[in-house]
Amino acid sequence: MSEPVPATQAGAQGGQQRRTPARLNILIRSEDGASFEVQEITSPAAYLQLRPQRLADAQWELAQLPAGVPGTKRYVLKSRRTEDYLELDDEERFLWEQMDGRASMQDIAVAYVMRYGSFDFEKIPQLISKLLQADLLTLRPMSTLRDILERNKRNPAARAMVATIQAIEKLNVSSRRWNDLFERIHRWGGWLIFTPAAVIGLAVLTAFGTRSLIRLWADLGAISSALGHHAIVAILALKLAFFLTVALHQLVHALACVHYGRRVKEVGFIIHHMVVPTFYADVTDLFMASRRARIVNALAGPTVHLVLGMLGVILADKLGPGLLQACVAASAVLQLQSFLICIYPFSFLEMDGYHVLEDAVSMPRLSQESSHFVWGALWKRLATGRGFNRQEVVYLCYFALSLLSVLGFVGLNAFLILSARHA
Amino acid sequence: MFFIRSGAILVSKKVSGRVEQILSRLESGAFIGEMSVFGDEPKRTATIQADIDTSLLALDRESINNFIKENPREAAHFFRDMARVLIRRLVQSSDLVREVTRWGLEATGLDAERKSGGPRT
Repeated sequence: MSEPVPATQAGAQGGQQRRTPARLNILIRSEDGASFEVQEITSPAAYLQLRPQRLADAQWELAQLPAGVPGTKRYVLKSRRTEDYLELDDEERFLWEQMDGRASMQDIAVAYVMRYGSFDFEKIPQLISKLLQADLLTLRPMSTLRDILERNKRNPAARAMVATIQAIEKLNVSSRRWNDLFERIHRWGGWLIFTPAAVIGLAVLTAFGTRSLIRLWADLGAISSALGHHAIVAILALKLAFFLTVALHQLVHALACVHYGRRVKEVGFIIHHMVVPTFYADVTDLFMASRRARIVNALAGPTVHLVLGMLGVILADKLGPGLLQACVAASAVLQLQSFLICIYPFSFLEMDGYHVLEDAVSMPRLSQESSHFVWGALWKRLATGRGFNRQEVVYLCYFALSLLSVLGFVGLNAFLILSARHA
Repeated sequence: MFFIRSGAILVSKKVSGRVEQILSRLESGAFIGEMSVFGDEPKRTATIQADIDTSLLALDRESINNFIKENPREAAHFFRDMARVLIRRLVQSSDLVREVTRWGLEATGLDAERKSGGPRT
């Protein structure tokens, strides 16, 4: 008789188990019960990625109760499937609206903070527990990609992809002991970059850099030609230089966090979107600080790329024609592009500038919601001829500007590549 | 009672809605449904689901009684092995409870060891 394979492998490892995150294996049945998928959930990170999915719209209804205590609103949520009733307050109603199967726990928590300015996160699991008991909600695990892979797990290619993803995820390295180091760097001079003098210095540097950039533009052909003759060396040098500047970008975010008296909770290295190796600094403690602190933090990281880009074009301008000048100039352009990508909010990418915009319009998940609106409700709305509310106007503006920006960016790069070929 | 001839099955328990917690994954040679033969409890204690193409061998109460009567020595070996497996499953259930508790502590941020600043790598 063979042994059962434990559902949680760490369970039988005795003293070794503290080294691995705890895992739960769950089985999720399809709506019709004809099929199922198996998911492994590693806490706590994966718990934050769970996506609460409320029942389909036709299976529940929500009504506001007659006013009770002045200034408060109460709602009753009814499951048409089980005929259960739940009473919700205004905050719980807001959370219920977020539980559309697309927002993760983390997204919902951020939306909650931005809407109510409250850190009473206990409210979210409490409401989820209440909704689960009433069969009004299910918890969808992980990403859409994981969903698709699990549905096709009999396919060898899907299994290979899952194995690859798991191997990549194991490459994540992080530590929570770096806050003291950042505080020391800040004390020993890091604070200088958050002074008015630093802003003036940046403006002067940008002015000189722009002048050099204009002069270099005249030598675009020579630079492109030098790069083309040493393509592999140039690509490797650019990649390495950029990789190092990402670390610097995160260092400045961390310094901004300690500058406003908050704690850097974690620093690490991950394979972002399972493709791009990158560093990260967890500065979520800044939610406890002012909006100004969050904006300064968002701007501080990208400014690294602006400074490096401007220094790069000034240096390239001073150098004579050749591979070194070409590499420095290309690297500088890459830095300036990175600055724009980080700072520019309308690109469908959730970079620093996007978070500032999200904060400014108080619309968490703006990017996902605007895409969802345009691909879904917009066409029905146009067909019925009904007007748009303020939120929908913001969605439309964001989507249109982002689409135009992406097209413009692609067009510009195509022009640069064609120019280089021509040269 | 069933023996897994080939393939693998998942043993799970309903948590909520369509979500079930997987208790174990049993493979070729393992057995399930022993409570229906040896116990008097008619209630189902868990859900069984084939994870891949699986074939099972069925053994009912009458066949077991005949086996005991006709081959008492082999039956004793059989029950001794079965008791060993059941004991191991009991140990694994305790480990699972501990693991689920640990998961809950980590997920809710109550994991004291992590909070004290230990490295996460």
